[in-house]
Amino acid sequence: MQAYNKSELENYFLAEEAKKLFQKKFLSKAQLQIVSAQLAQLKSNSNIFFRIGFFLLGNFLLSSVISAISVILLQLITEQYQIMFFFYAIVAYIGLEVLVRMKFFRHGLDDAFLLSAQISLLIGIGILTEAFLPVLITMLVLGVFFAIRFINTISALLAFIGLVGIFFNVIVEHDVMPKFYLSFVGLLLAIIVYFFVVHLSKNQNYYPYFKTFDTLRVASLLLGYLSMNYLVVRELSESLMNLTITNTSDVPFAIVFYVLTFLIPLLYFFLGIKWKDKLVLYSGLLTLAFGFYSIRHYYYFFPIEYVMVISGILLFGLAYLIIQQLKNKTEGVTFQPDRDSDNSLLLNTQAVLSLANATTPAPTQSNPMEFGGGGFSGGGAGEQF
Amino acid sequence: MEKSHFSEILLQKLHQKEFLNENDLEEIVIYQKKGIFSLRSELLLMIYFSVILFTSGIGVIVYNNIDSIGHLAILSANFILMLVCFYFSFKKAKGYANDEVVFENPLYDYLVLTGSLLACIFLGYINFQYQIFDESYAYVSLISALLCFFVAYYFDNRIVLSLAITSLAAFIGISISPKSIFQNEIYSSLQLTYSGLVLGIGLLVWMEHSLKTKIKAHFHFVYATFALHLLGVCIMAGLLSEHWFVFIPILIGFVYFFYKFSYRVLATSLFAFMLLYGYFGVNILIGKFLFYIDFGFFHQLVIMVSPFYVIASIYFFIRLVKQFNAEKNASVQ
Repeated sequence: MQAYNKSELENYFLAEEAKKLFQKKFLSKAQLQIVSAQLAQLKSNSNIFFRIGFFLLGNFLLSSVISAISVILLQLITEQYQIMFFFYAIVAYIGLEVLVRMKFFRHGLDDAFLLSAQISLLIGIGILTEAFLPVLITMLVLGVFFAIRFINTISALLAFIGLVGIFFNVIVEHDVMPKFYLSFVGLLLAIIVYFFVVHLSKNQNYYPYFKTFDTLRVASLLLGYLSMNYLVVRELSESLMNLTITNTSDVPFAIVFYVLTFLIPLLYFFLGIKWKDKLVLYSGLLTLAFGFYSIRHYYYFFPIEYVMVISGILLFGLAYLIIQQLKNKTEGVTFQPDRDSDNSLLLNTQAVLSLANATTPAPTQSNPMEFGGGGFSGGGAGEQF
Repeated sequence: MEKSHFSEILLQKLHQKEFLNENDLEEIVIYQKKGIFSLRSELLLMIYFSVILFTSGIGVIVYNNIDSIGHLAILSANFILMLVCFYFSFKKAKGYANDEVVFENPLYDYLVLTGSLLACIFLGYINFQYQIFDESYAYVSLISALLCFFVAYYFDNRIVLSLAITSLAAFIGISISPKSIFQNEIYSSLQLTYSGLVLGIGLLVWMEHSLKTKIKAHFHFVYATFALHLLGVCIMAGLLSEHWFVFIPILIGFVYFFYKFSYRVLATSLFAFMLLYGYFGVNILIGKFLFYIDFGFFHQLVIMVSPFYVIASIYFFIRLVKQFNAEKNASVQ
């Protein structure tokens, strides 16, 4: 089923592991060089910038190939434009297989062809059937196929979205059960997927898929939270069940959702620390922030600037307390730098992050804003590293 | 269900292939047993965000209350808080040195940051209220920049350094942050493009100087990143303007310099973005060229040829990246 040669894949992952060992200073640079020299390598980009760059180039390539072919072909087919997307998908898939033969793996180029193949086929099916359900089912099946055959994480994510979408679609449009159960189905689905993936990752032989498993775990954690989040539940029930919520009425079982909006993030926090799993911990942070946002969305306590000041102080206090607790521990959960920690990297990241945050006013503006405070939507920050 | 740092099976395989000897394995086992789960970066990032949240909030409060009775109270509170921050920072600081100096407790870095942000708010505020420099914010930006540069060099703080550079950019009239670049705000006029070029080159000159004289040489990455993006965007803007031919030699110089520089410091992100801007620039030029010559069947020809062009450029990039990675891997750290 796998598209790649088994020993080559193994070599790739061994080299990756060796890199990790080098970062944690168990291997010397000389040893690492021996490892990467002796193991025949697949062509891959471990650096995210290069991978994104080649992904873009791959898309250019695909679209230029398609447009070149279309110039000739379009004169032949004028009526059946539905075929076009299937045709794109086939071209992309052939390109993908060729790239795989040329030993491209997690390189960026292969990612471009892989995603284009899936998305074009989905669009094609969407146009052909004019319904959601077939698209979602194809999404699931294709995603699983691509994720297994090409060891691709994004395909697995697409499959996950497809799976969730199927349930959503069946319940909302085909009335299999009352819409009210939607959020519980979501939670159940998240739990099932999470433990299924955990079960799979216990098998060490699946090591090529470990990254995929991790991503799926985070996705199901987020799904589990979102299906219990008060904001999501309320908005969905307003739009799907035509509930009108006034001061006196609320969604059914509102108290459950209120409690879970904060309980689940805390649970993730706790589990993240207990299992020593950063992904679960980060999910906890993310969901907690969203939890506060959802409550603020409906209840107005203070103006936003006071919220910022107060939450800044609270956040600082919390972090400070944790640091004081962990300061002198050298084992287990600790504030000490790990063997691979790179202080310079962290400082550079923050320096560049603060570039993204700084809304320095140009003199032409008559806006007496502070220098370097301002909005903190650091979305673009990731581009820098 | 504790998550281990390394995969057992891969370690075994590495051992079988004799890349790892018994001692290495033992060391790894001892390390894994400790179950180290370092939250250092996460906690420091949390502190960083708390500082940003706090100072942003203060900034907005000050701004909203400019005409109210309490402004003097706010102003003095801001000032006192700033003094407190700097007082403790100075007390704990080891003093200036050309090399890297770190606080024993990393939290002081953030205290310095808070102080600097509050100082910038304070300066902007008194200028607005008492109109020291008329309505113009240029001089306030300059003073903020100078202050931040001093603080950044004295306390060896990269975050404040980047504040200083943004303030300096604001002084010459451009708002450069990734956000504004993406919103296309940067090139509102050609004059700004030229001043951006001057600032970018100035930053590079200063960076080269400090690398040579070893004055805080580790700041080079912040300077280089900043200059790279500033110059890159300015050159793109220039190439799209009327005087595009002026920018061709600048583009060539830009690519050449950052090519050499990224090899020198082996910084992948600089290399990648140099390639990106360079490729964009070349494509803009090719587009201009195609626009000038025009003949029959031309468009179809271009479309037919374009896959080969893209393949050629992919081949070219793969070779460049390979070379760079080989150089990086061969370097002994």
